Amino acid sequence: MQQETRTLTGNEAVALATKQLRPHVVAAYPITPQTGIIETFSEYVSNGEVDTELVLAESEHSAMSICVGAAAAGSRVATATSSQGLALMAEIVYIAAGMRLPMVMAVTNRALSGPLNIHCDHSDSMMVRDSGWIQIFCRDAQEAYDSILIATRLSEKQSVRLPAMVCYDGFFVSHNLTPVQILTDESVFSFVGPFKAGVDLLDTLHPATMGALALQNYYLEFKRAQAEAMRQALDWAPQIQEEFRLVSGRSYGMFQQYRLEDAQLVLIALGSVSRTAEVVVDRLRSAGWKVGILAPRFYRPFPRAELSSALVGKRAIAVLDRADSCGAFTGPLGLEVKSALFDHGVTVPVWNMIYGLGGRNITEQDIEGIFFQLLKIVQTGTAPPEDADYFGVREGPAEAGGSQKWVEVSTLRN
Amino acid sequence: MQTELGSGVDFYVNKAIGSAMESPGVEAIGAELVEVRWHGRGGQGAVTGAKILARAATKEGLWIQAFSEFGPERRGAPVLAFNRIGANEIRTYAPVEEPDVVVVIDPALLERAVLRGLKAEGWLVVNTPFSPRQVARNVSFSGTVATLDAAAVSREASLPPLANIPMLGALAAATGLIQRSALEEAVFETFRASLGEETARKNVRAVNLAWSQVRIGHYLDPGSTEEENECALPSWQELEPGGTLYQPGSARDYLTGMWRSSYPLFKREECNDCLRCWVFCPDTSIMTNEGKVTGIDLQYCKGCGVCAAVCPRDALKMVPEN
Repeated sequence: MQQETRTLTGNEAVALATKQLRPHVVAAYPITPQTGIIETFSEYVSNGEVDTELVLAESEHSAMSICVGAAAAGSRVATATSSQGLALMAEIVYIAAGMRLPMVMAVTNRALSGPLNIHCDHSDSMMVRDSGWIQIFCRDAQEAYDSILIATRLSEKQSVRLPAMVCYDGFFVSHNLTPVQILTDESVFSFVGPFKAGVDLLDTLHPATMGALALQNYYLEFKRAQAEAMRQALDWAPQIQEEFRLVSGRSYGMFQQYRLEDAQLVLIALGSVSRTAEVVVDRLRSAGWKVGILAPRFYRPFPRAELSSALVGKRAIAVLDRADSCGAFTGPLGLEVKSALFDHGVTVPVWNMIYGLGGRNITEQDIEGIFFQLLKIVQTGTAPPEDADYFGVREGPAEAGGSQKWVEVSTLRN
Repeated sequence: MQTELGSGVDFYVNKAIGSAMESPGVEAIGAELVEVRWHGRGGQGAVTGAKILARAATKEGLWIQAFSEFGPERRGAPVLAFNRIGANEIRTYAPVEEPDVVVVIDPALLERAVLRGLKAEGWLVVNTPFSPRQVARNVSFSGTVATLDAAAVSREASLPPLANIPMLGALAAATGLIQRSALEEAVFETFRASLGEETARKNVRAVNLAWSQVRIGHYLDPGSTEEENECALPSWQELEPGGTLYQPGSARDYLTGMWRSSYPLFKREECNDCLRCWVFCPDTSIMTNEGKVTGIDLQYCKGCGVCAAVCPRDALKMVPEN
């Protein structure tokens, strides 16, 4: 298990993993905070370290279109984007999944406009959560590196053949320099294996038509087949992650858990905040609190059954959402967790919080406060609010009869 | 109304509804809800026909729906339009699967497939110079058949050869679904707003002519209709991932010649085999043999007219379909 420790940003780790996949084609367009991936990857290409056709497209819509074309022509394909870039791609994102083309895309999570914002939240990935792409959310640079490799294997599995997104927090992970364990080029390539094309449009001896029209009499069947592919991904992911453990020594589940087993108060969150929460859990544990963390890695396919059984017997749960589902009055992760628990008959108070939108920081003290609130819910037996709370949002004074401590003097003069 | 006299013992005309008795609307056909499917081609006015029928029904205080279904939209491509007409509020937005009435605006579309779902005791209203009995026999239908030579009606009303308005008249007359006065009013209002009063009057005349010229008939003993043999489509498990087709040339199975409203007439003696038509034809419908044009493949020719437009001689000329 030969490995090397390097200090890399999340973006550099992803660029390195992408190089080790030896993709035939990478097509991309720069956008903050993803740019570092393609910058680093371009260096690899110009230094001759990887034999990839790198296409710097004129937009993300074109970049994803090129990826679709290249994958249909029998290539291993990778790309990366963020926020507005993913929004511009969205049309072709659905087509890549509908045409069942394997590829891997790093999504460096950034808030969607407007208002214009370049910082981290998960609204971009959530926008395309129903597109038929596998979505893996990573907590740190190591996971981002590892997940590029795992996602590629899963995406290219013949019974799956769905494109995969590897999502990680913009700036918090993408621009943060940390030690990352790197596998050798050889062990990566023996793990992912050479690309085996499902379809190869350049194979003129076996001509094929892709992307043909499917109207009322066919479309439904294709979508049903796509749902089945997602179920196959759910079945195959554990085995592929186990194979990865044998190569790397790093073990991944459908979700990551931290001191969860005997925990009574549980925090559920995607991304880097669940690492921060580990510090808080350790502190509270040493004070005798039974607290733990569940960090879903796979948001699509969502491990409903496994997640529900891991939460049986818990006393109170806080679900942190770094995206809103406007009008659902619950964040996208909150919706998944509540529906999974309901379907599996697990009754436990769930407090959903929208936090950290547009890169708003969440501190260890904040997370500690959330656990205190969970404890209060258990002690008082009060149900958490049905609608999501907006964590850390500035509240104005109440409209009337509020306890205002500030009076405009000018209004008194009039 | 003409009658089909001396046509044999098994087919009678002049069903006792329709124009003969200035129908009282939906109740005349003894149903709470009447569903109509129109078969036409893009540009022939099936959708407009459905809309005018809806407006006329509204004038009679009936509840209506008019909607359409398109494939890849294109002038000349087969289109479907639908009506629902009822005495009470219609709440379903489901597709019309078992219509009471089928209207075929384009005679070239008349084949057994237009009967799909049509109730055995329903109405088939066809634009054709043929008799109702010939149509009933041709598609082996056991309900009531109405036919109208819409082109003749349009000519007589000094209108361009559009079949939708005459067929609207035929439909209303045959089924008794709508009173003539309400239909005339709806037609007049629609055309006055878009094309002026003179055209509106001509269209009202077309309705009148259709009313008097429509031929209606049905078997005395309703015979059984043969079951349509729908070819089975694959299940979702049987589909190739992403819809990849490995069979080359599957477009060959899709006969687009049905879309045509005019066709290129080829004069071999005028042709110098420059092959411009062969280059420009979007459907490879120009047949050649050793560099010589041998004819037009009418199974696929959609009648776009590009070949005639690029022909430097008079070897290709577009002629209306008959």
